[in-house]
Amino acid sequence: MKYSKLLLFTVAIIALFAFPLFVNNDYYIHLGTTILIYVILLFGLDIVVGYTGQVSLGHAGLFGVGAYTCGVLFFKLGLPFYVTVPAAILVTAFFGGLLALPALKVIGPYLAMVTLAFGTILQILINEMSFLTEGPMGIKLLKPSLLEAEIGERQYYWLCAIGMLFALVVIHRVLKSQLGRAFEALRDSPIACDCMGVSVYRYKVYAFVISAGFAGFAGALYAYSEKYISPNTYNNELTVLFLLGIIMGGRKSRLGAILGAIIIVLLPKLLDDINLFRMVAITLAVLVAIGSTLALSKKITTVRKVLTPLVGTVALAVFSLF
Amino acid sequence: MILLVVYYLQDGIVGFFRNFYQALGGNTNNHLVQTEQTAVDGSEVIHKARETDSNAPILNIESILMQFGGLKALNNVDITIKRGTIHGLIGPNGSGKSTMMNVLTGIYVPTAGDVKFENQSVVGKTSSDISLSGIARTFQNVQLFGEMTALENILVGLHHTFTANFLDVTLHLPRFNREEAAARERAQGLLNFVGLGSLASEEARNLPYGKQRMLEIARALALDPNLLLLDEPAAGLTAPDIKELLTVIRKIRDQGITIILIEHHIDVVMGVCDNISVLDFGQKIAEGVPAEIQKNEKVIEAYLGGQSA
Repeated sequence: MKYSKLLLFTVAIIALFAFPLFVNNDYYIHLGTTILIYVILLFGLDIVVGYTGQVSLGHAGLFGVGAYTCGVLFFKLGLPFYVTVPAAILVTAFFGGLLALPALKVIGPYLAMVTLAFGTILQILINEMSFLTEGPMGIKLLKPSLLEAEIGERQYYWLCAIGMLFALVVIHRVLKSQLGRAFEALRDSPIACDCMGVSVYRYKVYAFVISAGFAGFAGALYAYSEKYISPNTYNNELTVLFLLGIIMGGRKSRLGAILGAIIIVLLPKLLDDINLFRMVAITLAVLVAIGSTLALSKKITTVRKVLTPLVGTVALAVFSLF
Repeated sequence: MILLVVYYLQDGIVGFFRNFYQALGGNTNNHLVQTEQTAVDGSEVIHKARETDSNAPILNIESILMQFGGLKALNNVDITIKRGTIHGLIGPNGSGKSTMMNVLTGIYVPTAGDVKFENQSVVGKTSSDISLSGIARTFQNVQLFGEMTALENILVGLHHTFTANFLDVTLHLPRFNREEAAARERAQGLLNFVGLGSLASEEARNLPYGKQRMLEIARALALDPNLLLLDEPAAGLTAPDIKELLTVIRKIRDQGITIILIEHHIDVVMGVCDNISVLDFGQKIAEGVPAEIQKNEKVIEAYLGGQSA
């Protein structure tokens, strides 16, 4: 069991790094890079949403802070990649701490409102502080350079892959340690958590700070990936997309974050084209049909229960053909 | 789309497939039918209470007043708890027992009065500071961390034994590895102590009620407390479970840990307590050894609701 898992993991890593070698279209590689960047952000978001159970709608704002820290340092001071990225992580983590302050006072839907406002304020600030951020004009960047030459799309993909693996290891270790257990505990029962000597106050702040750090990391990589950043990228739509990714992929799961990122990046592209949409709808219907028959044959569910999703997906598939 | 996901896939795609796979494979949890390990002697897992001046009382509750609006939940209550004893706190429903627990653990801040634990006031300190200073508690309505395994629940209680920082954790430096291994070993020991050793990897919310209560006690013990507050530990337990509970409580006392026991089962209280205080409408109406309490007219009146003479 353990051996096969290791093998699977190795195959996954090889596939991850080999992907750009088989694809010649820069656009697809760019999509892959975007997925990797979103994965890093979703890892961080999962700490707040999945583990501590707080709904944060401010992560697009934090993502923007990371991107702009990078952009401003590059644009104004011309600092290299290996300085701007750590700086972006630190600055965003600081903003995450600011976001945590209201999170200590309010819970549930109210927290969602506060974080939403936080994200909006960040976006407006970026827009208005023209002396620093060039306002709505945005900032142009160059990809980091290696041996005096700007690296290409493919090399940058590998760089992001390394970043993603690094984030994966860090997140996994943090969540398996006493920190992760504290986060999980304060979701299930804050009062018991306090009475076990784990200060709810302190660990909520830690969770937001660590989560924001990853958002900043992702934002910095995103800035270099797009080579152009402007304030209206980091809007509330992006926040909802992130949240959808984490909930759809599955919370408290690294695989879920990866799956969620793939879905939120690829699904809009797939739905753009009618032929692709047909394929997606039919595949979905077939999958649901197979799943339902399997479930019915093993008698773990009833006909009534599987009927709604089955009819729904089949109807979608039929609809796509017209 | 987000609506569909929230409605149909509450655990997300990964969670959904995990559940689906388990259901298909008939992979139900059969941990529960495993034979129970007998409760082992706890002397090696429970750290002895710190010995200080053994004659001085461990806890002094001095004329505590707890007011919610116009309601006086606790009205000038004085209680002194002797070190190393089991002190019972009984009273009819709504008499302020659980309020007292919440005052002691810092969840409520009393309107007036003082609580001195080992000669230091705990009033105004946060719950987590109080628990780290040596007061551990269980809850009347079980407050376990439901999605975590039994072992992880205890590990949260052992949180105070960790000194590893973020860097230690991410790089798996020796300090973290050492602390993690020590904590896991001790957590398993504590589980064995309350007879849950074989259920270590079971999620807490799937445990039967009686086991959940035991797990709460084990988690509280992980704090290395000097004073343990048990809030109705026997509520909802079956007779064999209660018997097991009493053995565990006595063993904890033998380690020098002082216990305050809130309970409605009179036979439990009378059987195990050294001293008993009785509360009624926020006031202390009697205090003494179990035999005295049983004969006390005021207590009988409070419980049976007779007219005062």
